[in-house]
This record gives sequence, C-alpha cells and structure tokens, in this order.
Amino acid sequence: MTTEAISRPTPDDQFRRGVLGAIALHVLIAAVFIAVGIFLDHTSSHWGEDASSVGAIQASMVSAIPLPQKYQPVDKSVLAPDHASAAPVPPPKEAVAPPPRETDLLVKSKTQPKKLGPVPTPAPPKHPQPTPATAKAQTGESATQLPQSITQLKNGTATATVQDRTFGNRYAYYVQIVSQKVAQNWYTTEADPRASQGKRTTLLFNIERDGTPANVHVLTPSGSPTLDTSALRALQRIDTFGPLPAGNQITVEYTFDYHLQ
Amino acid sequence: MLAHRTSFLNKAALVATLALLTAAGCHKKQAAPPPAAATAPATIAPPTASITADPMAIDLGQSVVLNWRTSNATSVSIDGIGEVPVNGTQTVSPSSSTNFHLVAKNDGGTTEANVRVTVRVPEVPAAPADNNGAAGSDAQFQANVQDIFFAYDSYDLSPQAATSITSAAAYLNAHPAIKILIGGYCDDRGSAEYNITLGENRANAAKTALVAAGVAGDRIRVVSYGKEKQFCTEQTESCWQQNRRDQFSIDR
Amino acid sequence: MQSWPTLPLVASLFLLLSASTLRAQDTFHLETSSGASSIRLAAANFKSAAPTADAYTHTFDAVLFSDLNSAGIFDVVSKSLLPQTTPGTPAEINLAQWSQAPTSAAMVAFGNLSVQGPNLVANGFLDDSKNTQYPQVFAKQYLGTASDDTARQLAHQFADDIIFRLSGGTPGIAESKIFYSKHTSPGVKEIWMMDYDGANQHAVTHLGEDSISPRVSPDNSLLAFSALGRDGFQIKMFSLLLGRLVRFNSVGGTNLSPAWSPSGQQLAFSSSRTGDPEIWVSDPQGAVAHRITNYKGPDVSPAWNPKTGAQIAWISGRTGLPQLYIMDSDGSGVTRMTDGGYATSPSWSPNGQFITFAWDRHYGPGAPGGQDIYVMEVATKRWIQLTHDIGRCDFPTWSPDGRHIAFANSPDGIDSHNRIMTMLADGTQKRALTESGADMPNWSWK
Repeated sequence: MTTEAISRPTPDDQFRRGVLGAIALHVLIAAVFIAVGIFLDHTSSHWGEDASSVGAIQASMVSAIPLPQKYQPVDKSVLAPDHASAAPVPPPKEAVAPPPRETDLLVKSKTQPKKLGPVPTPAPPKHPQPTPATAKAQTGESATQLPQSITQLKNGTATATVQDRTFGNRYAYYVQIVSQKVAQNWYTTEADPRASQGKRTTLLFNIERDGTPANVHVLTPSGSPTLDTSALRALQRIDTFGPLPAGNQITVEYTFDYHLQ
Repeated sequence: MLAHRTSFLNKAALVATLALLTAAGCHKKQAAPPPAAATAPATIAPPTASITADPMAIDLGQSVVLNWRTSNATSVSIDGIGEVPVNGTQTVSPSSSTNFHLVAKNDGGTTEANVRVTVRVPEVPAAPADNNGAAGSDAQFQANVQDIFFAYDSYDLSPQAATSITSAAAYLNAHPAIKILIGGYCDDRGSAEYNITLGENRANAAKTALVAAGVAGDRIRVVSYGKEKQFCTEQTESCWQQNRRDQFSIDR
Repeated sequence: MQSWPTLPLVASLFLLLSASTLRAQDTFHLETSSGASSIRLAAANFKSAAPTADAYTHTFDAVLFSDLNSAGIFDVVSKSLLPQTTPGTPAEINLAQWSQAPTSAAMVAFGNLSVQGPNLVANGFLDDSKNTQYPQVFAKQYLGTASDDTARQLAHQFADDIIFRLSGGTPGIAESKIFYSKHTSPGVKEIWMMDYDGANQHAVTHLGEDSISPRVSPDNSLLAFSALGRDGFQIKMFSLLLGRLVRFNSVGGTNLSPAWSPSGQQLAFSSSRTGDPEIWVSDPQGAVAHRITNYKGPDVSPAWNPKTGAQIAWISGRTGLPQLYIMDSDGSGVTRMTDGGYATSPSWSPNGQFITFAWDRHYGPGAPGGQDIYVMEVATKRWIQLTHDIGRCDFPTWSPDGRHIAFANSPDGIDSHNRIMTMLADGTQKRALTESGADMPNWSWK
C-alpha cells in the first residue's frame, strides 16, 4: 500500500505543501497498516499474509489488467480424454453450424445510417472443410475445449459449467465470457474473510436467448451467508451476457471457491 | 480590456439601432454605407461623399456626433446646418428623429449621402418624480452608474458595491427615461456553465438592490455572460478581479 | 471521504490498471491473477479479393485495428507478431499459426474486401483459435457504396460486431459520435460533431452565436444546446434530421445546460426564470416546465442517471463553492456527494453506478490546485482521480459502452486552448481527438 502511494504521480509534486501532505499521508497509512496487522488479524502470524489481504482491495479495483493470461481452462475435467484423440474427424460439423448463427445475425442487425447496411447474408466463401482439419489436428489442443471455464480470482476460484455439453463445446468462447463477466462483478471483499475461508457456494441460473440471466438461486449454500450473498449480488449486477449464439436458453452452474491466498 | 469592451458597446448600439430602424419602418438605405455611390456622367469625376452618426440612436436631450468625408467637392452642405467644410465633424442634438442629408457638388456633378439619427422620445414616464423626461448623456451615465466588482465565487454586494448602487439608483431615479442593461461577468477559472449562473446571480444582485432603491424593475435588463466575455485575459488575480463584475450600460 | 487506495471499485469499468500503479503492484499481480483479463485478439490484414479493392484495404485495416485496440477489452496483438499470411476466408486460415507463440491469439479476426459493381463488400470472420472443432464465432458481410469513408464505416461495423460478441453483450461504440462546441471566430462558437475516433469533424450549426453545452437526444434526432442572444443564454433545439432549429419555449431568465432523460421525453436544465438559477424539467419543446430545486444559490449542469432515469446529478453553489449533488428526478432525496473544492460538469456512467466530473480540490485565490477528471462510485461516494498534471480538464462525458470518457483539456489553462481528449474509464490510453479550439464534448447515447 505504501509503495503504491509513493509511485503514484502526485499533481502537486512541485509544491511543498503537497510534499508535506504526502509525507503525512504515508505516515498515516503506515500507522493504519500496522494497526490493522496488530489488532485485526491475530490468526495470521506472517506479515506477508497480512499484506496480501490488504492488497486484495487494490487487486479487485482493477479487475481486468491486461496481463498475459495466467490461468487457462484447466485440463483436469473428466471430459478431457474423450476429445484428445478425436480431433481428425470434424467434417460433418459445418452443415449444422452456420444456420443458428445466421439467424442470430439477422436479429442483431440494427438500422444503419445511410445505405451502408451490413447485409446479414452468409458470405459465400466460408467453407472451412478441407485445410483446417489437418492443421488443427496437429495442435493437440482440442482436448481443452470443455463446457467449463475456470477463473482465478484474488480471493478464490470461480468455475462456470454449462450443463448442455454440446453448447459448451461449440461455443466455448461464450462460456468463457460468462465466467469472466461473473468474476468481474463478484466483489470478493463483500464476503466475510474469516467465515468464508475455504467455503464453496454454487449458484444455478439460466441465460435466456437475449443473454439476460434468469432464475438465479443458490444450489449449494456455503454456510457463509456473506459469501452466498456476494455471489448473488454478482449476478444481480449483470444485465446481459450478450445474446446466445444458438438456442433459447442455457443453464449455468457457477461455483465460487473462497480461499485467501 | 478596454478596446474589447468598447467594441462590444458599439456592437450593442448598432444592433439596437437596427432593431429600432426596423421597428420604425424606415428604409434600410437611410443608414448610408460609408462610401456613397457616385454617379459618373461627365468628364470631371463627380465628388464622393459619406456621412456617419455616432451613436445612431439617442434618447431625447442627448447629442450625436456627425462625421462626414468628401473628395473632389467644391461645395458641401447639410440640410438644416447649411454650408460646411468638405470634411468635418459636428455635434448636434436633434429633438426628433432626423434625416441628415449631405449634398456635395463640383463641376462634374452632385453626390448625396444620408444618415438617419433616431431620437427616442420617452413615452409616458413610469416614475412619479420625473424630471420632465430628462435623459442624461453617456458620459453622465458612466460617471454616475459605475461597474461593481465581486469577490471570487461570490455574488454578494461588497460595501463599496452597495455605495455604487446607491448613487446609481439616485441617478436612475432622476433620469427615468434611461433603461439599463446589467451584464454579469466572471473570471475564466472554473466551469463555463456554472459561471453563467454565477454571473446571473451577480447581475440579479445589482438589479435587486436597484429595485429596492426605487428603480422600476421593468427598466432593467439582465444578461449573464459568465466567462464567455472577458475584460482582461491574463492569469493573474488583478485580472480575474477585473472580470468578476457587473457592467452597467444604457439599454437602447 | 476516502482517498483512492482503499477503493473496492471492482467493476468492469476499471478495465486496466494505470501504468504507475501497475509498476508498484507487479509482485501482487503476478501471483494473484484478478479474475478478468482481456482477450488476446489478432486482427489479420484483410485480403483484397480484386485489384479494385486494393485502395481500401489500408483504411479498413487501420480503422479496424484502432477500434479494437481502443475498445479496452482486448489485448490486440501487435501487427509485427502476426503470421506472414493474409487469410481471406476460413478455408485459407491455419489457426494453429495464430494460436501459437508469438501471436498467441485466442481470437482471430480476418476476411476479405472486394468491389462488386458500385459497392465495396467486406466479408468478416471471427474465429476462436482454441476451438479446433468449431472455430467460427461469426461470419458477416458488410457493404456500402465504394469509397474511403465506406471502408472506414464497414471497419467500424465489423469492430462493433466483434466487440458486441466478446464483451458479454455491450455494443461497441465505433459508430457513436461526439458533439462539441467549436471556437470558429472571435466571440463565435458553433456546435460541431465528429466520429468517436476524431475523424469526420464537421459543423452542425451555423448560427454565428456563442453556442455551448451540446447534448444529443438518446435517439440521435435532436440536439439541445444553449446560445448567447440578446436575453442572455437560451436553450435552442436543433433537429439533426431536418438540419435546422426547431421550437423550444423559453419563458424569461437565462436558460442553459440542457440534459436529456434516457426516455428522450424530458429535458432538465438550469433556468433563472424565477430569479435564482434552479433546475427545471420540461418536455423537449420546453413546455410543461416545472421546477425541481428550490434553494438559493446557483443550480446548473444537470445529468440524468441513464440507467434508471430516476435520479439527477447536478452542480449547486448553495453552500458556497459549487459541489456535486444527486437527487431523485422529482427533486426529493437531495444528497451532497463532494466534500469541498470546486466540482463541475457531472456525467453519469451508462450502468448508473458511477459519476464522472471535473474537480479542483484546492480551489481558491492563490491555491495551486488543478482541475482534473474524477470518477465517483455513487453508492459509496468513493472516488478515483483519472487525470494528473495535464492542465485544466473539464466536461467529462461517458461513452455509451461505459469504457471510455471524453473530456476537454487545456494544457495551459487558457479556455481557447481547449481540445477534446479521450481515455479509458480508468484513466489510461489518453489521446487527443481534436486540435485546440474544441470544448464541451458530449458523447452520443449509441
């Protein structure tokens, strides 16, 4: 906390008053910091743990730093082995894939100024059959496509699972967007740190065709009311996940694992 | 800055005059453009002539300065004044709206130029203690009704400002024909929108004080310029102080 | 009031960390990823399907890259790290090339341009490079009369579609506009407009007056502003459809700083028709006006909560220096939000959670304070400062996607030197959109 205050450019650097104020602020912050360490957290014996929980506040403020992705869809799901060897057989897919997308585009196309309207007709030359098949098979990454997306948070882990496996496989990007959007709106500081430590809460909700969340409820209470509430609030903050790429509704199971690091 | 302010006053006067002329149904040509058109039939070039009046509209009892320029003229006359020098100025106090008609002659021909001075005769004076409709001059007005200044972000009248208002009210009560415009101004710090409301309150503070001192409210027009117009453009406290003011002018 | 280090403003709004904070916090963030990272996206150069389309690819590619880069939700791969291929169709792309280092893109945007008859046609594709079975996220065709401007518009539309799908349903802003007050000659300001990226700057009004405070209606059909006339500032209503002024009733006093309700059916503004400047609400013709504040002192610069339409933020000088307040739209529930300084020009975020405004926290004679842009979380009154040491800033206005803020900035504090800048809503990626002489930006609602 203190280092951060120092590095932040102060508008009044050149003015002595500003400098004096900054020094006073630092002293004050240091005092608060120490006081917190002494009085509020007897359970953690290490100074470093203390600091990380203080830092959690700052981390949550900037929930979307564009650092390289440090977490990935995790391979440990039971579904992984099924796909690992199935890669070279995709031909029949595109016969099915385009239609739902095109209808979706039709719905979305908005009124355009002038005559430059996007025409939602399918572009003629987009048949991905021959070349991509071999290319993709070589990557060996097809196994990671799960109807599940795991997001690491400062104070825990969030896992979104779409119950419809076909949807989850085809529109993996959408599942990831859902996972991220909930994570962005989950203010982990709203949960009581001590009562929630190590607890897990699972929400169940639907996403309607237009992308709005509906029928949000706690499937498995964590035993920490503040944790359950913080999870519900995250969903309440979300107006839409964006229209579904296909289908009329999907059901999402969302699990929060709360653990201070 | 003074120049800025003067040009602004001139502009206001011009606008007001045009409005009056239109209202009176006068021909637009009567306010002659400076270089009058010359007819050119003969071998000798006819004279050129122009005449202007400043201001072009006055209240009864005020005076106006006529200013004329000719070239190649052998004789120049103005109706109602008679023979005059080829170039010159003259102060006149017409008692009613007058068309000043200038005729410049030489062997080549005759050139005419016109300027109309509008004189506003006060209608039924509203104030009871009227001084037979007396209206003072610009100079008198400026001497008696002085701009007032404000502290930053304030629209309260200072003791000095209150004194100025008192003497202004006395003058205005003695000259019931005068209508006045109070412009509220702010320094150029802070928000443009907020400063317009602040200027509005500054102008209204002066209006309220004048009304309390017996000046009829319908003689007073209030316009806030916020920080959109500045008397002084430097970033100094003395300059900002210049800009935090109510400016009083005759509303024509 | 608390200072910013203790803010728990999570929010998708604060997308990126300001560079200075990032440096100080490196250790934290390398160990503790924070839930929301931006999507690594590669935008391939579009393939020209015919020589006649060659002329447009440069504009198209540049605009597409710029739109995606400034969207605030992507980590757009630098052009220098892209594979040396120009795939024009899904059949031509080898996604493995794009998903592996150094490109490492999770998403790839690509396509082709061609000229068919009078039209410029763009076929755009977005692929999920990690999904080898079903890579295509969407495919869409765009077209318009062939011109450089059309190439620009088509790129904007493609970018908006990508942003809409990958942002969880928030429409892109590439087709939004910014209205502003442009100093055209001494004493004269006209209302101008431009694309959100600063392109296409052109005049809207030609009144020869001092026109300020443009506010476009939610449906982009009407533009309210105020102009200085014989009776001081008065609200004018300009039809963007008819290209001329339409009626707005003014009933005395000074009337200024209009603000549209999100329904477009009401206009809030400051009026001194009863003496003291108060906030009034009327219909878009100025009729059915009623006063909603009643307190001595200037009240000005209302801003409607665009999410609910049930609250109005505004600036009041009722206690001295102007402060930020909010109230219900019927005038009840007045709450003061700032605790001092000189606060002006509020603009509400589209989700209703935040207000951005200009604030000089050390205002006064001889005080060294600067006027900067701040964001406050309405529920908690906690705030964060977005601009530092770049001169006087004012008139922040939120973009329709909530990710950007445009504002006026004068590096030396002189009014006529104001120019319009944008930044992400966390204060990063600042850049100027105009030369000096432009002030009071207002971002369209869509």
